[in-house]
Amino acid sequence: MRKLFLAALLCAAPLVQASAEELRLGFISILSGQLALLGEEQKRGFDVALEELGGKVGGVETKVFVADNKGNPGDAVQEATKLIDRDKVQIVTGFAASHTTMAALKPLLAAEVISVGANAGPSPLAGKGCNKNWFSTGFHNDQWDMAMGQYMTQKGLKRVYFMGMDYQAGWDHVKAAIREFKGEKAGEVYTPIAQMDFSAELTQLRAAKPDAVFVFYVGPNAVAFLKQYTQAGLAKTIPLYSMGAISDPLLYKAQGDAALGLVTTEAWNTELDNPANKKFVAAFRKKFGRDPTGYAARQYDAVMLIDSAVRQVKGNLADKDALRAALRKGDFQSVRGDFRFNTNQYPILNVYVQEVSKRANGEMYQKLTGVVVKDIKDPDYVNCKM
Amino acid sequence: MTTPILLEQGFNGLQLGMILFLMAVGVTLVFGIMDTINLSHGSLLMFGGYFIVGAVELTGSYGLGLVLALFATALLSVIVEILVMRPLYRRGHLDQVLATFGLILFFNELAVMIWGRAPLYLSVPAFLDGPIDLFGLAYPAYRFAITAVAAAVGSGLYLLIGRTRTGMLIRAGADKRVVVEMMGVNITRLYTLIFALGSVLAGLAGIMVVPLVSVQPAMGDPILITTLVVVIIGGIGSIRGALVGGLLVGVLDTFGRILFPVYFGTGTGSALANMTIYILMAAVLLWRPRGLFPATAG
Amino acid sequence: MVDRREWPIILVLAALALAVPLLGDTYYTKFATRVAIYGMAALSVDILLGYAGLVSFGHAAFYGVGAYATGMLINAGVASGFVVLPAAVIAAAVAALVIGALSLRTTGLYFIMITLAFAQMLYYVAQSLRAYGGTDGFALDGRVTLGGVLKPTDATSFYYLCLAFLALVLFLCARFLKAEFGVVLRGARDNAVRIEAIGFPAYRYRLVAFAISGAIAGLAGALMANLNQYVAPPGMLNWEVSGELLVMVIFGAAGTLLGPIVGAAVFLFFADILSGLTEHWMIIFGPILLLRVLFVKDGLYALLQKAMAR
Repeated sequence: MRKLFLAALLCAAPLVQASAEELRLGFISILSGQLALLGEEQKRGFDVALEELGGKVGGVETKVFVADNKGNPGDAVQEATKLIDRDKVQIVTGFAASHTTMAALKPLLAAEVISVGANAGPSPLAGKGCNKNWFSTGFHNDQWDMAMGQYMTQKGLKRVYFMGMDYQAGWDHVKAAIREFKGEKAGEVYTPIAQMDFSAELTQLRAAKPDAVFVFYVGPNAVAFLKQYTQAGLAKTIPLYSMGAISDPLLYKAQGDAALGLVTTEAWNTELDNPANKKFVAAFRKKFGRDPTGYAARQYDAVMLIDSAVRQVKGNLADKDALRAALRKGDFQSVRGDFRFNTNQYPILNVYVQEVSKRANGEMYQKLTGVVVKDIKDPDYVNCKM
Repeated sequence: MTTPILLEQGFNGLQLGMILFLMAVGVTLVFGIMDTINLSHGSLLMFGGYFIVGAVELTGSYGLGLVLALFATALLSVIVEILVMRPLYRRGHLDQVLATFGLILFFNELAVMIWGRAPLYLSVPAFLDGPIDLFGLAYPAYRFAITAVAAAVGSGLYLLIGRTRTGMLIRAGADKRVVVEMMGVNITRLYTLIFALGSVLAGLAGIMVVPLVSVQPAMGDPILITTLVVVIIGGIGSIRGALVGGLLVGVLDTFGRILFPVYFGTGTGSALANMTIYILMAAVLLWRPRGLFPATAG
Repeated sequence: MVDRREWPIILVLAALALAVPLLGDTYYTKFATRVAIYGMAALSVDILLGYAGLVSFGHAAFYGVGAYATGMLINAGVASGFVVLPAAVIAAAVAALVIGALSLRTTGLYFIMITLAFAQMLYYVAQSLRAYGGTDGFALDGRVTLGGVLKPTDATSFYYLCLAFLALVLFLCARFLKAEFGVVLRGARDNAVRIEAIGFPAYRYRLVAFAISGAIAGLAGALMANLNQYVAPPGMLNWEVSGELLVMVIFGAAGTLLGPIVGAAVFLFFADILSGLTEHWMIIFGPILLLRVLFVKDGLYALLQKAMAR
């Protein structure tokens, strides 16, 4: 039995030889499980970018290896290991959520594989843990929420109740908002990722009588929270603030009109007026029939960044130092306008305020209402000794 | 905690408890009468949720959709009973655990293939949207409706089991299968009826829960574990036990979630909150190994 | 100790296992390492299932305890394998003693449920450990060192280490299961009243078996923590893991020692290869499991044994 099995394995696995003429690009994300819609959206952005480049990132034949980390750190480690050992990738992108990102990066960074994150930017890797092979093009987990904290202070809110999901990203996002908000914290509650029924927590929230609520919820949890918040009659009495992920084109259908009027902060918006963004949004709408979300936009940017770097080294992927230097320059047309990295290879961003609104044709979208802060840096870069 | 808040949390606990009760009935009857463990019971909650979403989209009416979804759940459960459960009745518990575990894997992937990974949504029926006035506090009307429906179902079950011939047969089937068979009753059909009944209740739970949280693949699995705990606490084969167990777990879980973090901090507090029902189950098992209301159905 | 006719199978399997690193690809070596580790964990479940007749649906608990103990010690600076591994095993054994002492007072469905419940409890305890990442878990600073023999990043030497442990566990299990201990255990499974009448306290024998089983699962967890250099509740302490171990046992053949390991190989093979073919591989795997339970009486290893007996 073992013999048959090994024979089958030998047939199934390709005999791999990495050639300088070919880019082996890995894409690892959450493609199954509760947060799968994030990973799937990232993949859409990835596909739009690849299509635009004609399948050749940096002008080089590109072979893509897709890995599903199932939203699970243990699986993330295994999938990353497969990408390194079996698929022999040179660059990896994707990286949807903080916990799976941290896990996958362990073997990747140990094997010195260049990793370009397109979404979550966990704080441990932005300070002391920074690494020359890790480029976070998405954002640092704190940035949007720092902006929201400042925004809420600017609005003159006195008491704010804070809620979020109970994992690294949740702690990062919520604590960042608390840090920048200069008023009184009426409460700080974290709910398990698996928890979708917030009846008890909403009752406590109401009891605390805050001026406003700040939450960090994404995906299905965002849908559930918003609906229950509205059903409890809280939406009319206590305004809700969050960051962009709580409501976006992926979630509009599920949330319905409950989402209208939600004010959030994000480092990108479909209405940003620059040529790269216009091209991207048009291409995405053509392919998928709706506005893209930030997940897709950031992944598109990540691929374009890799493309620019590979072009700069003229396809010589073996020269890793040159490749890293080219990535660090961040010299590409970003959908977010000007793009540049901080010294810790996390981005310096403008953060915008947006409000969920309806177009004349009934389609919901994120209306760009203003800029909260320009060139915001994450708080951890000072500890990075790169 | 002020009295209105206490009251509101009490209602929350009651609502959760009633959902657990609906789930537990199916499990406890199948355990108690057919001596069979069915791990895929949670999948029926999931399918109930998917069916109502599909049915409402198809018919445009919640009422009609509800009937369709219940019917579809019943149909699905009968198919499962005939194909998978019947061969399992005679097998050992290990076989039942493994076979129904395989069913869960299959059902979850099936849901992904049919409906995709993104959660699907259903809005609360218009007349139940928003809060109602409950003893002076604004409580979501829909949650109250869930509790009311489950209570009505519970009463219906009580009448069915206690006052009808079918109910008598169900109770008898738990004790003396052979005797019932000798009476000329088709035990095979009785088992199918029992299984379908329990499954439809699970489907109903799923149907009612969807507008609150939306429906997604594998959503029934965590609820299954809690349901097993409820059944153990209440007593295998006992519907009264399912009710008491469900309410106990629902209320304890709700209050635990809120109170423990207050007294023990967020980390330890939430761990304790999650552990509560398991500690309760362990305690019940050690003090009353057969549950609070053991033995026959009803 | 072992049936004479089984030796050919054992030797072939052993030869194959030893030869894997010679293929030169770390991917295969790491795969085989996972087979060895899960095989050990499945074996621990089989001790209870196949010999004592107890269906434990909560072995993820001991697997997880071993993993967490390892991770915590390594990150606290204790890198020596001579300290970390025994500590993990002892921690798991203690957990098994406590949980077993309570669970073994019940039987049948209740036993299944209570073992599941305790595993869930430990899952939530692990989830609440903020210092260790909560539900995200945490990365290990490195692997255990064994007095300079082991190179931390070398997949091959780690694989042989796991094989060595597996062989040791197999040897020890074979000894005490064939001895009086195993006979009493099986006697208690078949007829507890009779075994008590002869003067053997069934409860105590079962408890010892439970503790040993837990210890072995803990060792497997410790090794997995070293392999992945990551420890987290989902993937190690969730109830699906306990289910998967049961599946491995049944695929391989309960009541044998090598069966669970063969079962683990088959399970992981399916998972890896099938998932490469289609993302919806569970739709194939679920029914395979169903069919195996409903229609095939013997696990793979038992079929092999029967083939050899002819």
